[in-house]
Amino acid sequence: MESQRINILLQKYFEAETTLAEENELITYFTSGEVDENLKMYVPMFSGMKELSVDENPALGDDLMNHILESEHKEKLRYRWMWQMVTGIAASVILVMLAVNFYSNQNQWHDTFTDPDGAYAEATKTLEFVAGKYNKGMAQLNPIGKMEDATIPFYSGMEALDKGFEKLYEIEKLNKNLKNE
Amino acid sequence: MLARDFKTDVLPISSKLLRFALQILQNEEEAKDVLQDVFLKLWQKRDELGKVENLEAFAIRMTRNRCLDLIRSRRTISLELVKKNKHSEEDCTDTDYLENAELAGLVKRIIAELPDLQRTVIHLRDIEQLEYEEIAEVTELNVNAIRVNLSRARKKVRDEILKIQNYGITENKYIAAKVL
Repeated sequence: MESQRINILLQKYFEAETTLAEENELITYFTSGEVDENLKMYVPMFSGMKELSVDENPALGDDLMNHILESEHKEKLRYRWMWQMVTGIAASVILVMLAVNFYSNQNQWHDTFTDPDGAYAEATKTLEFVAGKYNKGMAQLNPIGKMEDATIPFYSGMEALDKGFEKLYEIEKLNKNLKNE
Repeated sequence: MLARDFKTDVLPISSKLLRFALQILQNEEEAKDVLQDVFLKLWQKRDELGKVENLEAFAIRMTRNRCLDLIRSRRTISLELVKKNKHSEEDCTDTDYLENAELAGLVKRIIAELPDLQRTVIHLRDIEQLEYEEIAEVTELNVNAIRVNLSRARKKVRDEILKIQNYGITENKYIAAKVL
């Protein structure tokens, strides 16, 4: 009686017309160990399917959760590291600025003259002194002018040579024309 | 979604997803990598998961897409994998292949050799026991097409198993004849 019902279910099963409940009924029947001799050939299929749905990795969920938390932790560390970098740089910039400020405060200009005319006279004197030194330096550079003069004959020589080449070129042209004719 | 809900609602799907990814990729390491990716993404999106109607189908679909991406990117099947598969095939032709412990391996091997769509459908229905509507959501097929593919897949698995069983019997007869 039961095997008849199972047969009908099997037919429906292979046409993909069974419900999940009916499919479970088939699995239960074929894995029960009390299977009709004529239906025994279906045992491997259903017990194999059942076997495949057995959970092989019970710790999988925990592994995944650990992976998630680990990568979140890494992300956090990365942000923290970035934050530390940024704040570190900002702090050192502030320190440098403070140091520069402090240093320039120490080297502030102190007025040495109270009388503006006196200051003007002193400044003129200093500038004249600098100008004198500058002119003296320039005078030392005079020999360079001589070097330039020395190149003039060379240039004129080159010009003559250049003319000679141009003549040669014309001769070559003539030569070509002659050949063509 | 709170972290606690994530642990109770999402994490338990993981073994299903691993079996599914394994079925597509045939490589445990890659399957586990895919799963890590998928779960990390699910975790990052956990605030939006409440809106998802069917979390399981959603996650399976994510896994399937991720696996298909991976297959597309690797293109060539590594020689090692081919060798390994061949090897396991040889192992299975031992005379005691219908021992209970090896049935799973046998059915798995037959399913692995089905065309992509049939393989996916029979896996989702007969191993993961999803409703047709859920399979439709994962595969983006209509229920009718799913039934057709499922029917073909089931018949093919049946025929293959029967073939192996008959082969076993004839081989036994042959051995018996030899002994006599």
